[in-house]
Amino acid sequence: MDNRFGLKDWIVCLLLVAILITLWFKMIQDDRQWDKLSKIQTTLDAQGDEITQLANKLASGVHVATTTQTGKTNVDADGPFARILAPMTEPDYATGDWVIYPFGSTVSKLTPLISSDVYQRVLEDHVIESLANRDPMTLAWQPMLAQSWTISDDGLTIVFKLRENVTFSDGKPFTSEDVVFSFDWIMNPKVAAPRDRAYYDKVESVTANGPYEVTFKLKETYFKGFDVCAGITILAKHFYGQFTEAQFNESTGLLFGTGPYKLADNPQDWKPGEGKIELVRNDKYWGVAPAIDRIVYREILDDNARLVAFRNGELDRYGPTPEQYVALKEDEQLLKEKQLFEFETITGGYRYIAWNQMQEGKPTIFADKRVRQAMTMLTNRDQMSKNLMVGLATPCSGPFHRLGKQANPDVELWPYAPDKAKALLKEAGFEDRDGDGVIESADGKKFTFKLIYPASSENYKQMAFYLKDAYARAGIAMEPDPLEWSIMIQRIGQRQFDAMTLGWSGTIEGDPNQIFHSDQVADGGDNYIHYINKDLDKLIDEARVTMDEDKRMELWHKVHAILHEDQPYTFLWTTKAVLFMDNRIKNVQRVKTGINDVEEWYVPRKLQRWGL
Amino acid sequence: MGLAWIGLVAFFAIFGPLLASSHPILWKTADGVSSPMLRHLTAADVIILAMALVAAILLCLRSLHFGKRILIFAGVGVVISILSLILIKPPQAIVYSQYREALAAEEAQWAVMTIVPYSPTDRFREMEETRFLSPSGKHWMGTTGDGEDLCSRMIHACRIALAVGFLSTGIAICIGVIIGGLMGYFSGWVDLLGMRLVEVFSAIPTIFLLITFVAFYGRNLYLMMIILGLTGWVGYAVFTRAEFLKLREQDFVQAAIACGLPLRSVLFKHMLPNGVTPVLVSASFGVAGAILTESTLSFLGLGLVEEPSWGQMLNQARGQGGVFTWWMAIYPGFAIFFTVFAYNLVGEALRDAIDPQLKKAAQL
Repeated sequence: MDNRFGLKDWIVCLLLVAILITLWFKMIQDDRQWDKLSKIQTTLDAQGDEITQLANKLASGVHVATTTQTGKTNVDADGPFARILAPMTEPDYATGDWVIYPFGSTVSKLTPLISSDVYQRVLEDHVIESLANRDPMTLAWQPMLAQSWTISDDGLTIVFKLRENVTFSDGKPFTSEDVVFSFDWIMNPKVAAPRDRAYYDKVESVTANGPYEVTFKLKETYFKGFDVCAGITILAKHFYGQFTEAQFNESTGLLFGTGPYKLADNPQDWKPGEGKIELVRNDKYWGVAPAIDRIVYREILDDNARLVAFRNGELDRYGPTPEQYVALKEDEQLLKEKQLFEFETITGGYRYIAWNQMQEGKPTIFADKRVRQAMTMLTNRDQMSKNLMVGLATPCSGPFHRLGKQANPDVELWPYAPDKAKALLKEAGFEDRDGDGVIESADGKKFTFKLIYPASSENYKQMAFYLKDAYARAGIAMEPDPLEWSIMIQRIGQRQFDAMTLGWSGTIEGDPNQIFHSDQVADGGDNYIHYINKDLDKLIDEARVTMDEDKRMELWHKVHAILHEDQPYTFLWTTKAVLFMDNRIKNVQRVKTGINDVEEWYVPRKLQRWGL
Repeated sequence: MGLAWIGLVAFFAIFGPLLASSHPILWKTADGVSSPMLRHLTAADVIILAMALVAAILLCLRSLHFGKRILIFAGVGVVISILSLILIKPPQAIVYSQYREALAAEEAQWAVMTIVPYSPTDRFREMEETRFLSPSGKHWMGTTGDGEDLCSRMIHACRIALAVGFLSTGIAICIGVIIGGLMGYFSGWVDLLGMRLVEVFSAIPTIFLLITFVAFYGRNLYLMMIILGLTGWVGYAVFTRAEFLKLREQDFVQAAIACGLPLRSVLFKHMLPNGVTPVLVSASFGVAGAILTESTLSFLGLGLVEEPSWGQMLNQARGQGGVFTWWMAIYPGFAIFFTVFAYNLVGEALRDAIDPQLKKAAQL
């Protein structure tokens, strides 16, 4: 039969065409509606601006009158929001726009307590607030969720008076119940938060006296007692309470709090592996709302890909590697478009080489103090920081940052002195007895060891090669052994390494107990080098219970001197952070802890790029 | 042309330490004339050099039977390997710059250097900055991101490329021929079982397996070769099986069986020489594949740590400062390309030479 184009086919074709035409009209209609909507949006925004400016004027000018009248507003000029209020008087201040951050690895868990991710911390800081936080300029504690507090004379009882009109991001009020719940939840052995639990071990009890007052009782005096209590992660009872411990431990995205931002997704629905995480402004925020609408964290794993994205304006912030920094500093075009920050902070931490003193129950070559001192004197830290860290690093003599009060100003760096080092090694019994260029002990044990370091980092690799060549000059054969991060953590946990190099991040007042006290040698502790010095233990114990700051600093100075003498680590250097920020973001400032928070930034209306 | 290139690479692989080394061949110091280069030869260097010497001598002795020559080669190889592994203990802590410093300070009167006077891991620590220098009279191919001489690394990388190629293919052929031969000869349920095994192994993604192994057991070139060999035998097994299925019905095989020869003899003496040709052809492609796999791994940063490899050098070309260093891309890139290309050419030439069907077609 012939396949003729009959009447039926005509009808079908016509119908199809008709449908297509209607679709086309619909699209045009949508387009017009969209135009209308965006016009309405811009007018609304403009009005919003006017209102903010009005509010600013109110806040600065008529402010005193309002506070005295109501006595309850949270917008006090010298409170925790002073720094957010400050830029609001700028003529180009506007709300809106997004800030886009890069993350160098994927974030698998957002749930607080159970996540050990650094990047998770970054998000948590915007979403969950604590009772008090440190002022970024003075580093003094200032009230956040707590209005005020009193500390008993022995430092063992701390009473926090809470703010009365704080709400979570779903509008439910925050009360003392939530604080008590947070503590109970952390101490609940079924919750997988061993690290936090160890930290709060010092706290005996948390009790609520009425809805807006909480009492923390400490078991013993501890110089960081207040830090521990004030910094507690506030978990909403009505939110976290609806999950069982098992559900909580297995959850991925349960990030919820009182903070100025909240997760863009419903916390229960968040799944890792999307390539980006978004925080949106919390419309029900109890304090002063920040200007930036949305913070987007993009996960870009490759160094170079991150740089390209930053150059293209897809990222607003970029921390280059030392090599990239050298190249970028010369790039005039880039410098015109971006603002550059170079700064060194106490919290920046330090890099070190750790010498393992005990392996499989036997002392290693590094158990001898003289050997460790010699290793330090063989390490030319000045030259390394110049060549490998392009001058961004400053050699350090101990775990305390030289800008902080804990560092002992009298401790002098071990010099780079290869000849002295060789003499020390000889004194310790190491010399080349069989003429093969490698030194050995009297019983023929050769001085060879493996240095483990994270494989993903080019900088650590260069450092390892540098050390290898430097130690070869003293007849020490070192083998670089790059390890995958998870394997490396495992090896450190099992204490199966000769030497390793990594960095510790710092806090404002560090507690060396975690790393150098002999209590921490046992399973899981961070004294993975099996370093034991009873004198040091005593000093650390004493300093930890000394509440008087001057006396405590004196003790820390002694700790510093002992660590310097013993060299359990070869302390390498502290580094300057380098940061590029997009030019359109205003009010980015240097503070004591680095760069001020996103909450204080704004983008003038004309320069806004995203979310229009 | 393919053969010429492979010959060149093999030459570099064998004589690498004599061509590019920071250790002077001869120099005169206060202690008299000595040769630091000889002293710093590793056991592997000595084995390879000695084996090359033996191979050359045996090639000249044409009167000997081929099989005997192979036997002598293997025997001498084993003896040399054991001897040099025991006897040769080169210094482990090497300071390359000592020679240059001694010459500059005139502690040494004179020194005869190799053609490229730098070792592949010599990072010029006595100098200020030697990272990413572009090619010049001093460094013919420039320097790497760690400040090593690229030319020297290129030469020394030949050995790793060839070793990976030949050893992994060798392992794969051994396994493949034995399993394939048994499958083809016995057919029946042995064949059935063998083919399932082949299917299982051909489903293993080699690269991912290697990446996993590197993550858990560290970087080890020998492990890498073994894994490549253990997963790569499937093709050879299938080829051998097909050949043997064809051969076992033929008269000379039947005659051999009728004579009551042992299985070993029938399989390897009578059948294998007649059925091995397709295996050899695909082996040359296999070598190329193995070299490529090693380069891929090194490019991903999972290869060797210090020792040079072409893929690893290519990886460094991506640049840390976002700067593209052309010499780091071009030389290793072309080395990989030409070597793989050369092996493919040789493979095709072998096929043309051996395959009677094609030969006939060529004559027409």
